[in-house]
Amino acid sequence: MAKYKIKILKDKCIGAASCVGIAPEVYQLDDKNIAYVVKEDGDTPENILLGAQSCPTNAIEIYDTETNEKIWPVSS
Amino acid sequence: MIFMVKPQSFRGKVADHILFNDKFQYLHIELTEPNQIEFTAGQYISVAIGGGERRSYSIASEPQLNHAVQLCVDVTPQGKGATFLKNLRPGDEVEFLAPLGRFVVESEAKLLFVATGSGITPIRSMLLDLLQYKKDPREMRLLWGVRQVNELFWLEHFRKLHDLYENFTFMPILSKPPERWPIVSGHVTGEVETLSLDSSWGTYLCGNNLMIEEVCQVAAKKGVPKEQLHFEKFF
Repeated sequence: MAKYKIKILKDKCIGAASCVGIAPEVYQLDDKNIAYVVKEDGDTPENILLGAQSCPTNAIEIYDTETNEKIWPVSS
Repeated sequence: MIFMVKPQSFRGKVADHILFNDKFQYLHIELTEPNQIEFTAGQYISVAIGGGERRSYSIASEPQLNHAVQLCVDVTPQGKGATFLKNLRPGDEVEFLAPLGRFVVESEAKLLFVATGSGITPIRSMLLDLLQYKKDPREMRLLWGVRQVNELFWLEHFRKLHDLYENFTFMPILSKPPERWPIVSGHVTGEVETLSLDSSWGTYLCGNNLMIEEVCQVAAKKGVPKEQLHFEKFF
């Protein structure tokens, strides 16, 4: 089972593709340059999280699969 | 499937921190580990600002300056990222991921750059790369909008490029000009409306979202194909 559940907020995605640069087996852009998840366990949990953290618009949310707790973005 | 250069983690130390004015600040970060970076003009870095959070900032320096990155940041939003950068002092350590982003110059015959505020940052990198290093002969125009005259910076820098390179023209535009301001005033979109654009142009837009949307509409009406409208929207 994948460690993280990944949620893409499509209305926030600007197609900068930082997530793709970090974890291309997990994140890709569709034909409208919006991110989507290819495979939730396609890379290490660290790279999956880093891909989300590198997004300039916080368009990727990461949840712990077991607890459903939101890991990213952190609440202020 | 998109393949991109995998970004890596860098550490650097603040070598210079200049307050251009109340709104915009400049940082020079000298790389320590690794001590060289490869990137394409227009790309950005993701800076760790503490508490597990990151913020994205475009690189202002040219790729040929491969031992450092320079940033220009609008600190007036006073968010966590702006506050973090505002408080950095020479010698402070910074960790960031780079290179990131796809806002890079492509192969169009003519290039129109339009920026508002600190949106000038990635465009400065592009222009230095194209003009000073690549001696790129394509026609290039830069329109840069800020509100007031005291918000302008790098003015002499761009004027010098304008004087040195016949293929480059630069126009600063103030939306709230002082009396007797001798140059163009208003909004950059209004100036774009006066230009003769066609399918040979590529537009590179960075700044506020409204400007990007309006300039895209104007350029598209004038015949610039959609795939030649490039923009960076996170400012």
